[in-house]
Amino acid sequence: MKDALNQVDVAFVIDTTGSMGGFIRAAQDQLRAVLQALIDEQAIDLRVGVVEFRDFPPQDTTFVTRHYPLTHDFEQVQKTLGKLQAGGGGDAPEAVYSGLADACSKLKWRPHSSRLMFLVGDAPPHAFKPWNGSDRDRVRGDGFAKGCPSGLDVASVTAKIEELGATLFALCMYPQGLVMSAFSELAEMTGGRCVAAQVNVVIREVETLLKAELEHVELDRGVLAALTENPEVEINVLAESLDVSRLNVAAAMARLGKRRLIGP
Amino acid sequence: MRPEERDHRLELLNSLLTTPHRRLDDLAELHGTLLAEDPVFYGHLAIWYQKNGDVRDHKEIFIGCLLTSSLEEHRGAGYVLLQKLPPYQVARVVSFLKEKRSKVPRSTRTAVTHYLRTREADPNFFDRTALRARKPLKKLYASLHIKPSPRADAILFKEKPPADSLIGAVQGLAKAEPAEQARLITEHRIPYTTAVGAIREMTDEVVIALVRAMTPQELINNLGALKTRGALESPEVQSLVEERLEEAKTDKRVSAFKALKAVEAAGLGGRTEALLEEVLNEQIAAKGRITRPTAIFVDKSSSMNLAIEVGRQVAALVSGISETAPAVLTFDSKARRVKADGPKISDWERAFRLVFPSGSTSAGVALDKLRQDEVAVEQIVVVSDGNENTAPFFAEVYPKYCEKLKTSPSIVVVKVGRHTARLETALQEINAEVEVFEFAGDYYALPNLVPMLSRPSRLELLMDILDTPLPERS
Repeated sequence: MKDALNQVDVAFVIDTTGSMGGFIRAAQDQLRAVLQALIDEQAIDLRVGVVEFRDFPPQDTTFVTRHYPLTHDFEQVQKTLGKLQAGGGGDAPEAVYSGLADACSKLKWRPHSSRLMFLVGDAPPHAFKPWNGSDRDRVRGDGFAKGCPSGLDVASVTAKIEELGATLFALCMYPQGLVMSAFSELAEMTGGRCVAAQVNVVIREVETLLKAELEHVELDRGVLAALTENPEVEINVLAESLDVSRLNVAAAMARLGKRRLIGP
Repeated sequence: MRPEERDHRLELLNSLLTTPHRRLDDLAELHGTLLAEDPVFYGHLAIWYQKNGDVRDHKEIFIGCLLTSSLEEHRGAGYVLLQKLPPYQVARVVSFLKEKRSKVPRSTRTAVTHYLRTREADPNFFDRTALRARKPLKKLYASLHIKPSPRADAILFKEKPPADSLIGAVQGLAKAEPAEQARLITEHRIPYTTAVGAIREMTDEVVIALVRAMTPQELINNLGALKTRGALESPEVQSLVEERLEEAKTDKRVSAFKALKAVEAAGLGGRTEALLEEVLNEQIAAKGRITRPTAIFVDKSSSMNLAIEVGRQVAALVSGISETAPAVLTFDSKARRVKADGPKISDWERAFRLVFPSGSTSAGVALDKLRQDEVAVEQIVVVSDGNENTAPFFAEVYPKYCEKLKTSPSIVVVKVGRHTARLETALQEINAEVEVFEFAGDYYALPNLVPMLSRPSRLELLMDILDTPLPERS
């Protein structure tokens, strides 16, 4: 289980419609170095996968989603990023829900890994309306205003992500209005968050979010070791022996339990 | 009271109880609206809140708004309430009026003048006040251009306190021998925070004098500092500390929250820590007894790292002071009943031992389980981020539950994690009684939930508020 603790699976769910060329170039140039630095620093067992999405026909006739498996091979990830091309898209909203749903169902996540998803895009999903908004708050000119052809919405797609045990972080590259609302809702409903990101800082934001997520690993390791030795130990006793607050120990236990590294 | 008037007042009360404090602009606006829309209710609410409310910002804004109200009864009540505040809060009321109302009316200046003159007239009262609140007192005199009495002027502004004054005694403290220091501390009841700067050597007799001079709350607040100075090592001091902590159990002024903070900050062990926990338990019990049947729903969906811990704390808190054992359920897309062998946190820790985050979020599924099991409750605590994404949704099940069990439980949402207002908004839309308690990472604040759960229904509360008389200026 100690080895499994180091496992981190990360999926990038990327909008590759016409306006996303800036991100694709930034990812091609910088992402590999960032990932390599992370594994050098933290000794984590990192796998990276990619899902790209565009839109449904007739808005876009190229493809709706394409997925590239989670892999340790960063050379392969770099090749995948190199293949991404910005194009198409049609109306303003895109097949965001399908991208996320495919990341849940089509990538092979390891049973005990820490699971993170990064949604990168600049357009809202189809038929999106903020949870506290009215019908007037919908996207104008949405080709599928009555409902996304995928049959998904914020609730159902975040339920899938929660069922997977993943956390979604959203990098919103058009941080205004409905795009920001949609990305925030999607991320927050999985326990993640949304960050407004310009193209020149987007990879740095990925790095910051990943580092923040990985900063618990040492505490989790200590808690796991203590629980392996004595599964019945009380939280207060554990907190005292590790010299951290009870709340932090409880959170570590929750993270370990979520990954089925402890418990039944 | 007409039904529409009652509903409007309930709505106003709900806004007051759910608006997060620390946002002074929002609070000021809310109070302005309350006062404008229902001045009669506002007056009673202001008085009721001084006695029953917990949020200091609200208490001060209430007094500020009463003092500047167009109703004479309000101004009279504001005058009386202001006299009971400590100087720092009077100064905050004045600042509030200056910053948010852009005026300090003459009636307020009269109230503050009376406040200061009452203290000036009693040298001992004035000295004690000046010792603890020198800065706010000076601010009150200066900002409202109130001329201090010659004695107040000498103590506060000229810094030449009379030799027989308390401040004179403090000045003599530094040069005195330990026995004399102990005598001065005991005779003048010099507060620890004041005395400590003047004392070089903490002998047992000085520490004993200090501990005797402290209020129970001061003792709790300063336990960590006493420990750091090695002052708690003597058995005689230990025994006195324990005796004073026993007194704290029944002292209504002691904050359970601060007591727990003290345990944490002081890193105290053994008997002292056990005593502080007893103080906390007594204080929680004193905050109220929960008589209404209660259910606790704990969100264990995969996005919840803290809700399970908060849930077991709430379960222990509630079951310790409830007349009937609460129904505790965890939920993701399924609901499960959790039962503990006893009310202690260790019992709930065992009960929750195998509960870990997983799955999607449906608070409604827990309510539906209560409905199917025909468990009637009058209030429900939901520990969650409020981000339901799976049917059945809570607000959809709620009317069915009410209909089947012939009860309309009030809801307290304890919000954790990256929360939104989805759940309470949906409940407000169907006119359910809902309150929000935001968990900001400090579960020692959870005892503040008790008054929300131990009081009568919101309607009874409303009647209680309207029965609270406005004090009159004598």
